[in-house]
Amino acid sequence: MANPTLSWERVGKRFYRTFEGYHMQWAVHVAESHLAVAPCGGAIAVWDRTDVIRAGVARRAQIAIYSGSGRLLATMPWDLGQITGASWSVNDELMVLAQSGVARKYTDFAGNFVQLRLPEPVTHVQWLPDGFVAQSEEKWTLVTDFSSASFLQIDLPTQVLDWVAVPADPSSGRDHAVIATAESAILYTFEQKQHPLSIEPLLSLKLSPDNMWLMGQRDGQIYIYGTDTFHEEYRFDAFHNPATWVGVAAVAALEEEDSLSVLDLNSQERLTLEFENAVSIYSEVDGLRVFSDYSHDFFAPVPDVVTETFRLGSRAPSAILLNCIDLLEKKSPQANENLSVIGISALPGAVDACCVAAAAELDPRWQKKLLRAASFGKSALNLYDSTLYLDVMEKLRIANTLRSEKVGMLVTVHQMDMLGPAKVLRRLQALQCYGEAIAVARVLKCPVETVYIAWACHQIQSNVDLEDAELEQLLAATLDNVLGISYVEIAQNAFDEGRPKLARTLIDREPQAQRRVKILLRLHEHERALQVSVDSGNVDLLFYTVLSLASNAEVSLPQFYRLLGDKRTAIEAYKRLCTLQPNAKETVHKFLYQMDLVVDDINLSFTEACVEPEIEPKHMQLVTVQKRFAELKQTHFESQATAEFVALLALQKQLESEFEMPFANLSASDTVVALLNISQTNRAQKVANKFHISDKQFWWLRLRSLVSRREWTDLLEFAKSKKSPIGYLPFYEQTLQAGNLEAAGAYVDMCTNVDYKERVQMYLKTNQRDKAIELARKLKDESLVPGL
Amino acid sequence: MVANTSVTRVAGVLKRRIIIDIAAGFTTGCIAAFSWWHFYHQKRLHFREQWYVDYAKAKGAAADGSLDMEADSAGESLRQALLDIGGPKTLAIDSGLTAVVSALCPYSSLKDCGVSDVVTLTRETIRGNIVYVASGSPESVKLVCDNLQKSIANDGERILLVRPRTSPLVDLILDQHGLTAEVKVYDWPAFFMPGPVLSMGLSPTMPVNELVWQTAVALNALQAASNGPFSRVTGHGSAAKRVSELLQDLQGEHQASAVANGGFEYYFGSAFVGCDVDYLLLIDRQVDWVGALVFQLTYQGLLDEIYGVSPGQIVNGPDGKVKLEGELFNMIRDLNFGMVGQRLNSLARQLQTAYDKRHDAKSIDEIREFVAKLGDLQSTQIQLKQHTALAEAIMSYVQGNEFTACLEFQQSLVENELGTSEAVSQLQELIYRKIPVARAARLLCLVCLCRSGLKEKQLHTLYNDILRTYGYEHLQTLHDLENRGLLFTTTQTSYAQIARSFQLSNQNEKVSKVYAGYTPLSVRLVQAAVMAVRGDPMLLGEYFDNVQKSDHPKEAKLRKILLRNSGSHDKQVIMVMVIGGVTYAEAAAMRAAVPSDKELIVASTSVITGDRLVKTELSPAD
Repeated sequence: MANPTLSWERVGKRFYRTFEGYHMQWAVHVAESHLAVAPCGGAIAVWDRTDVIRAGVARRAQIAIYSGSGRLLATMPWDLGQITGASWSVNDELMVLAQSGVARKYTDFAGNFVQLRLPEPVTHVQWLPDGFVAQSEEKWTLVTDFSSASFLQIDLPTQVLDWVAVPADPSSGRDHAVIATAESAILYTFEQKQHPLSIEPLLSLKLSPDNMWLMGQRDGQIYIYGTDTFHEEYRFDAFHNPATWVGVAAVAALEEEDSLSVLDLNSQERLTLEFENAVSIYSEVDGLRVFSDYSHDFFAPVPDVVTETFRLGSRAPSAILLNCIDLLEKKSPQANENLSVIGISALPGAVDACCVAAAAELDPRWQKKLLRAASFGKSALNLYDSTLYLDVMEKLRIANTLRSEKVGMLVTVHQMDMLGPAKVLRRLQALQCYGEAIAVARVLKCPVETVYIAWACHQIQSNVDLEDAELEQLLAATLDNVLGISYVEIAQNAFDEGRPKLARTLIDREPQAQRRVKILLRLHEHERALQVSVDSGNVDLLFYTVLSLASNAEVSLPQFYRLLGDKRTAIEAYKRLCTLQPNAKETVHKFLYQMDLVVDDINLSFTEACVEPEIEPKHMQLVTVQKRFAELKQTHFESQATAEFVALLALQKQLESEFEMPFANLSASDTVVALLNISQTNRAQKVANKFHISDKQFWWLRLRSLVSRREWTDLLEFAKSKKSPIGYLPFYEQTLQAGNLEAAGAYVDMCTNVDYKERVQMYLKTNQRDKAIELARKLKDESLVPGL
Repeated sequence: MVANTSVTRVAGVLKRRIIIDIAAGFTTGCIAAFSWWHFYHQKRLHFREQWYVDYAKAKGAAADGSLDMEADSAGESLRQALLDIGGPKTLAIDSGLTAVVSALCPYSSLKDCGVSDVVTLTRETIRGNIVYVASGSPESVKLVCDNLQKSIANDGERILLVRPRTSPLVDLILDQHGLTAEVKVYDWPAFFMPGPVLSMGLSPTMPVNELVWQTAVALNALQAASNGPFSRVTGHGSAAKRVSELLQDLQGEHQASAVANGGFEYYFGSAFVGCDVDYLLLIDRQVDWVGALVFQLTYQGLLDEIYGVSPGQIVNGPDGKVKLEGELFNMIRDLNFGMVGQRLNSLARQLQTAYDKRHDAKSIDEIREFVAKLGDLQSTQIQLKQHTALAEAIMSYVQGNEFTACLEFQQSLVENELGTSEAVSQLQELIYRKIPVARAARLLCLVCLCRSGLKEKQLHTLYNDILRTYGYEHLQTLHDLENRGLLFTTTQTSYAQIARSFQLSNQNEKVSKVYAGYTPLSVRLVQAAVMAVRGDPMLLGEYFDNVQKSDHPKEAKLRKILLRNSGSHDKQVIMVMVIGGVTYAEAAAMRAAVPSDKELIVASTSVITGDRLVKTELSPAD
């Protein structure tokens, strides 16, 4: 391995290097095409230049999209005439603006797009991360949303030399703006505000990739301003051709088609690079991409850490540490001595430097060597925080995957960090590099399931000639080993691709019942959806399914009833949902009738009749209910009970008119009590007989009635009238509870079947000590009476 | 000869040198091993353990009480939603959730969040900002929609908190009413109300499939909030079995989504098994209706039977509202009522002695000390007064003829002393006395259960008595009880058999004191779970016993380290979940049944009494 410094170019104090990326697979003539490159190594959109006329070649009206290594990803047919410009949004969507004023955003590589039409033809365009500013004859138009026809406009001032669109700056709250130079420079915001800037009238304005600096040119000189205040000004003698940023360290301009001039801003020294072919350059945040017909390279300043580590004769600790590896390979004992040369205090710094240098390196061999050096240094340290080391390892693993020929993303670790893991994964999927995406997701500990889903969808779309079963096997072979895959999207995809059978089998694999139901409903698999929600045990889900089906215009009522069939829980759910509808009663009855649930239906009618406040309609309803109960065999008891209910209502009506007091809402026994309370004993007896109230109960009712009216003599008379079927203990208890000791005492004698001990106590409680003593003596158990 | 001697000599030298070599080798080896152990291995071990300690800390106080944490987070999320709307707002709560809200978020803290008014959700118009709290049931959401449509004319922000439901039903209903844009919908992860019994506050008459689902969701949330699944789950009855199946399904779904979310949760979420709850016992109420139907005889149980306990207080007591909290209440709440008077007396005496100390106080310091305690003493005195009044009220209730008769009848029923026809005629007599309808229904169910079903004729006689005495409307109640399996004609397993197998009426145990000689089956099942097996679980229908193992390869090691570092987890924690409601007295008996080296958490879908169990929402109230 030759020292990498050999291929470095020195400009002033700084070194520059070119990473050789890919040998391009494309057949693009860079000099005759426009290129739009997605930042951080994304896809490249290529369309022909119209100002170059090539004999004998028919103009193809299309935009071709290539990966960084020149693999053709897609071609978009273009039928909107002259293209003013194209660029990539932050989300890797290709934005194209035609001269006619039509702006189009392709949401994917399959050619799906959204577009809008600007009112007038455009002459120039400047791109923003999420839109563009277009210049027409009289106005600047800002577009950030392609799906709606809303845009902001500001009037164009006269005699504009050049202008540049400035993206919004959330930190200072400034929205998108335009900086234009005429006689003086002005910042126009799209809220119709203007801020004059103290900038020379310049041409070819360009913002640096980090938006911190603004560059302009005049008379072979380059002016650079800081964009925060525009007070800082630098001026360099440079080139006449329009210049581009190289990171923020240098600016570069194409002198010829195949020669590039670079001006290092620190030292103001220049370097000229000659190429074999015509090249096209594209500015990145930390360097410059150089495309030719055959290659895609990356030109960048060498970071100081790397310079220190590799420079010949460097005495930096990291350089010594790197040297150790060479010595170790030669099995030279000097390796250890070298460590002591570095010294324990400088060693952690050296290890860090080796890690950083490894991260900046694109060649895996040098990465490995640097990391070995770092690891060697680390081993000599007792305490070293390995976070950086591990971090670099992880990142390099990903970066090397991305840089492979197949993926074709020529990115530095810095660019990869700017993209972030989510976008890296999305790009890999867009490039259909699913294996790589999964590998990267594993390293990043990101969810891999989305990648698997995207892969499966891709398989379904691309394997058009496979049978359903074969395709399922193909998917299952991979997906069965992965936990937590949601099959919703895959099934939907299969359905959209005209494979409903496959979709069905895929849905069965979905673990979550809720998702399964949702997709089944969407695919009109009503029966299955209902069955799944019943089986899931999820009551809410069942409600949801039933309600969705009930309110689905495609499902007629008979169909719906058939769907419910004999699913008891589903029927219950629908019954409850019915009660929420405006005409609940009719709906439920109709439903129960249709479902042949007659008993339920009558029971419901019965309940409705019970809550009816008016006695007349209540009576009417109950008569109907009774008839319906009577028609069925299994409701014999109910029919009898309802018949009694009806009879009771009729009787109560009669009684009300007879005695002019309320009887409604009383039960049968309470009606009897009410009659007893007004001393209608005979009438009460009749009613009791009619309602099969037993003798026992009737006695209880009379007892209670008399006690409540405190008719003690009547009560005694009643007790003695006949032998009580309920015994006399209740008489005693009830009167005692009512507080009449004397009356209660009268009944103790009658309680002959009560245990004598108890009776002694009863005598005592009713102040009949003599009788208690008598009884106790009689039974020779005098201890029962205290004080005897 | 010479050769011989030389050979032996040489051998001796060799031997000696070998010994020296071996000795030297061992010594250096030992030194090396020792230094490796102490300077390398121990250090790494320490490092690794530190990581696990941090991990344990990172998982937070979860190890100490995910249950409390859950209640806290539910209250917190309610407050958060309230704070989402600036200015005064009205809190409109679904009637079924008022208890839950007040248990999780006391009124004072609601006030701090700017709640100007708390109302029960009805169709009446509410002005200004509104925060609705609803369960996700269709009725509840519909009510919210109706209210919204009326209140929408007024200005104001609106938020809907839904006790977490698991389907897009709420969105669908809102959408059908065209109200999606009018209200922000949040999940409200409130499952259990804190208290001596963790109750979910669901209606005991909810259909079984709904109870089962809600239970499974709540238990799953509990598992997710703690350090991993329960290590062992056993259960009795079909509902319990279904819950455990659903729990497994939900766990699978949870795990799948954890995979999707990647990272920590997936790798360590189910690393530990049984960290918070070692053992979950699921009991289907259907297995033991009797335990819920018998009268509760503990202090809190009787309070609930007579006045109705809403979480933490009784509202309609003899002297109005009484808060049921504090040390004093905790001391007497689980006592058999017979002992409450005694305990209150002795407490009163203690209090008196404490007061009398003021006469002994001589130095200024002693007086100061007494004065410092005075506040406590006074509040205890107030509580003592309240509880004495309550106990007296209960006493007069309990000693009434009617209650005594019911109690005697019930006791002879559960102890299997009555024949069927005798039981029927005794119940008839109670009905003729017109005991409250709920009590009559309850005793009817008890007769049916304890006599293992009645003949149809007997059943209909009793039905007729009930209908004629309490009104024919109760036909619906009876229907409902039949449907729920509380009334039936015949059954396969006889109650007598179960009672004998599980020794339900055994007087000589600590546990049986709670119910005066009777031990409910549910309590026996808890006992069987923690101690020696008693009775044959197969008599009770479905029975299962699942041991959940961690799928993490290093579970045992991780657990050892975690346990060593948390320290709080020396007691085995058992959770019993009764699907369909539990009574306070049952909970008390269950706690009494568990030895002190184990901790028991009693949870249920609701706290019930026999009266509440037999009352249905459909039938008109008595």
